[in-house]
Parts: sequence; C-alpha cells; structure tokens
Amino acid sequence: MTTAVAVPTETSRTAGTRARRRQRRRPSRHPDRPRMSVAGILAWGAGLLFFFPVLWMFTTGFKQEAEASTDPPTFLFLPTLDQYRAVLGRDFVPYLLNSLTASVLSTVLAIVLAVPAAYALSLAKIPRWRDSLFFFISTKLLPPVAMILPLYVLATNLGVLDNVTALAMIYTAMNAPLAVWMIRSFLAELPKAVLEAARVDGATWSVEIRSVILPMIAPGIAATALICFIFAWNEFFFAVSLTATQAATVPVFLVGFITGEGLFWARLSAASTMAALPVILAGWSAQRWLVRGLSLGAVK
Amino acid sequence: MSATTATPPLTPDQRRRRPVRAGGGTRPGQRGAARWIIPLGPALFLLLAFFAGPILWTVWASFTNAALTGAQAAQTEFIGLANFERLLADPRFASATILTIVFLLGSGVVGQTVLGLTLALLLQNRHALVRGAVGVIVVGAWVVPEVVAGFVWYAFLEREGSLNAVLGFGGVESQNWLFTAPMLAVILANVWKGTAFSMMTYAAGLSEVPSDLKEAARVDGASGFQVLFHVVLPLIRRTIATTLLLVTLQTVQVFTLIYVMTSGGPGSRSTTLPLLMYEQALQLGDLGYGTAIALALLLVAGLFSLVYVRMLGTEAKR
Repeated sequence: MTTAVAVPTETSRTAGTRARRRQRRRPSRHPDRPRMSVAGILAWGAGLLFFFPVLWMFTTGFKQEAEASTDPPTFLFLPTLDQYRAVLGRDFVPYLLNSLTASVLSTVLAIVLAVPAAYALSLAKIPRWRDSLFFFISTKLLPPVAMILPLYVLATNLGVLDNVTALAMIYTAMNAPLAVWMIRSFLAELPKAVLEAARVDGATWSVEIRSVILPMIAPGIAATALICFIFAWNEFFFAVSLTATQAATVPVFLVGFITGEGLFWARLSAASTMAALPVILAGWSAQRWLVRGLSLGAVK
Repeated sequence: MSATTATPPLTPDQRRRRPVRAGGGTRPGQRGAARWIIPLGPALFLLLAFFAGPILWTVWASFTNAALTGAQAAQTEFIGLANFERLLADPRFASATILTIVFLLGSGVVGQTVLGLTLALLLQNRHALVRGAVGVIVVGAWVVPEVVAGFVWYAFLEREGSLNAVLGFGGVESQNWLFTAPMLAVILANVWKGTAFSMMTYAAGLSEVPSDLKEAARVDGASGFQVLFHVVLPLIRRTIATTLLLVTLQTVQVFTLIYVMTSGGPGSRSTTLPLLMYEQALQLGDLGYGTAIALALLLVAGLFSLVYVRMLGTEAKR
C-alpha cells in the first residue's frame, strides 16, 4: 500500500496484481508501437492545450500591466512581484482569512460527522440503511440553486446573513454526503475480521472508530478532507448570495476585482494565482483518490 | 465490499437475535437501531435541515407569491399554479430552457464525454511519465476555482484576448468572442474545466477491461476501431452511464462560470436556468417565481437522469 501512495496515477490495486498484469500485457505491446506514438503525440498536445490557460495566468501575474495587454502577447519580460504586492495591499487578507475559516472549519466538521455516519452505514445492521445511504447521495445531486432561496430566507430570519460560521455550516452540509460516501467506500475495503474482532471484544463504537478504524483508513480520511477543502474553497454561489462585506470569501473578492478592474490583467492574474494555488496543491495531493470522491464511490 | 452489498434475508429467528449480538452484550439497555442513532444522527440531522427542509420550502414557495422585499414579503399568499402559468408563457424561460439543454449537450454530453473518453483511451498503456504529466495538468484545470477558470477564458476570448492574436495571423477579423458566440464561449470553458473528471472515471473504467479480451479480438482480425466499439465500449457502459449521470447533474447547475464570463448576456443569449433563477429571485426579489424556475431545473436534470438509467437498464438486459 505504501508504494502505491507514492505513485499518484496508480489505482488502488495491490502491487502483486499490477506486476502480473504488466507481464501479461508486455508481449502484445511491441507490434503496436508506431501507431501508439501518434497517440502519444496527441496526448501530449492535448495536455499542453489544457495547460496553456493556467500557464498564461501564472506568467501574466509576474508582468507589468503594460506588458500584459499587448497584441501580440509579450513572451519575454522581466518578472516582477509588483502585482502580488498590489493585490495584498488591496485588503485581500480578510477575504483570505474568511476563505480559510470557512473551508477548514467545514472540512473538519464534515469529517467529524461523516466518520461515525459512514461507520454506522457500512457496518450496522440498521433497518433501511440503504434508504439512508440514498438519502445522503440524493442531497448531493440537487442543484444549489434549488436550495439557495430557502437558505437565504432562513439566514435572514436568523440574522446570520454575511456570517462566516453560517457559511461554514452550509459547506459542511454540502460536503457531508460526499465525505460519508467516500469514507464508506474506504471502510468497505477493510478486512471484516478485524472489525468483528474489535466488536466481539466489547468495544463501544466510539472506541472502535478511534483505536481500530481511524488508524487503518487515515490516508482515505486525508484524501476526503482534501477534496472537501477544495469544494469549500472554490464555492462561489452560496458565498456570493449569502455574504456581503464581512464574510466574503476569495472567489467573491475575485469577481469584484474582475468587474471593478477588468482591464488590469496582470493584477487580476496575480490574484487568481493566489486563489488557485491552495486547491491546485490539494488536488495534486489527492489526485489518486479524486475519481472515487467525485463519483461518490461509484467508480474506483 | 461484502459489507455494503445486499444483505441476505434474515429468518425471523435471526432477526430477533441480531441486535443483541450487535450490542456485544455490554449495554443491555440499547437495542438494534437505537445504537446507530448516535453515530448517524448528527449527519442525518444536518442534511435534513439543509437539504430536505429547503427543498420542501422551495416546492411550497413555488405556489405562492413570496418575495424578498415589499408588501408580499410580509404577507405571502397562496396563488396556486400562477407561477407555473407565467413560466410557460415567458419567452425568456423558454429560451433559458433551450440554452440549458444546449449547454448540457454541448459541454457535458458531447464535449466532456467525447474528449474525456478520447484522452483516457490515448493515455491507456502510455508510459507512466506521460500519464502522470497529462493527469497533473488536467487535474489542475479541474481543480482551479470556477471563478478563476471563468476569468482566464474571459481574458482569452475578449477583444484584446489571445484568441484574436492567434486568429489574426489567419486573417480573421478581431472581435469579442464573448459577444459574437457567447454560448460557444461558455461551452468551451466548461469543457476545459470539466474534462478531467470524465477522463479520470473513464481511465478507471478502462483499466478494468481485461486485456485478454482485446487481444483475443485482435487475433480474430478485428481492427482497432472494431475492438473499441464492439469490445471495450460495451464493457465500460456502466462507467459511461454513471459518468454521464454525474456530469449531467453537475452541468445543469453551472452558474459561476457563465456568471463570470458573460453574466448571461449579451441580452439573454447565454442566460441558462440557474442564471435566470438568480436574476428573478435574488436580484428582482420574486422568490415565488424563482422557486418555480428552480423546480423546472430539477425537472430537466431528472428527465436526463431517467434517460441514462433507462439506457443502463436496457443495456443490462441484453
């Protein structure tokens, strides 16, 4: 398992089967080689095409404004940190703190709620557990636009409009179904004997989770947390609808930036790079588990 | 897996014995379901409060004249089907529905599925380095905040943007593509953003296809395309249907990307249902009408989901 963690693109298959498969495939590979290399060039080309916008954003952030909007674009320029200084000087920090608070708080809450729930759903013989599971997934599939109006009215009546904690609660609810399904899929892979042994010994469910299950699925929990963090950090629709000046997050700041300073491409690029960096790092760390998380455990 | 797949039916005798065993005999007071209320309860409560409640409220509000401000906000009245009658008569609703379906088919079904599957096929059996590099790049595109993706594509497509600089070499007149072809612009951006997901699920599906089968077909003289269409694709149809379902539910909800790039304009030429709902309910304050639009959106998503589920059902019977 430890070797598989180090290689980001491998699926969670064991090393033994992987080696066996590779051996089986090898003889058939050779005759195909010329045709395959065309596919290889296409794959590289597609990769570059996908990379270009991000590269453009990243480099533009280090340009001067005059260099950022030339036609044709400038490729050679002296990198500068002026734009980053300008963005950080423009009250960016409070938005960053709001984003961090909402994302981290909601991620921690979602995991704390999801672990016992996933445990109950995968091990308990509760009646209608299947219904509960489908209730969890169905909430994930509802468009946020269908939910925003009642939440808006609720937040107004409770006086928590423009409140980071309230936003974090909504993100917790948004991520909880995903976390439950994902953690459940990790629990399903644990050897049943271990869990049953713990239960026969008379451990309560909380002891069982803490001392037996958590250590075994720690990498899975970390991946789930990273994915929850990404979703919370990127969320814009609830943030723009439910916050104003006090609790606005980074995406809200960026949109205000775009409409307010639409022509300052370099500065906008610097701000976008800062907004994208945490989630890009999180995404790469969790890449191996992304498919499982995003398909709610349907695809592994 | 065994813990999650169908539990065998219990005899009445077993059923009576089970809770006692589950309790481990340590706490005689707690029986069966009660034991699981504590771990499951908080998460269930949260979702009931934030999802089930709001949805019921949405359904109720769509039959009223609820408003954000003004006299109707204080005194909400039941107005029957009036919101839905207005919806059906509203030409902007009709155009928003069509644009939503265009966006869904263009970016979700055609764009992401075809491109994602093609990329997954191209990367299959490639060197680990190539797979790793392309994977990292595509995941980078997927993970970037929608706001940032919208801004990058806005910069690429507007009048002074890079696309005009590139097309200028070919003699194409400089223009603001967000104005000339707003739907194409947002569809392109969404394909760029969303392909990573399809690619990863298809790659996972393809890795499950036994290579013996492909080799056997090859030995029998099948061409590469015949192997693809007659062996590989039928084998991963479950993955395709699942991915289509998830992509559809994701795509019909897209709000941020379009909001950042075109705000639904010019005019309402890229106003899809989520943008129309946002405008009617939160900008104009007409909650009742907005919730009716939200329900229409659920209906569109539901109808498409039904098609995939049907597809899966008939395929499986064969």
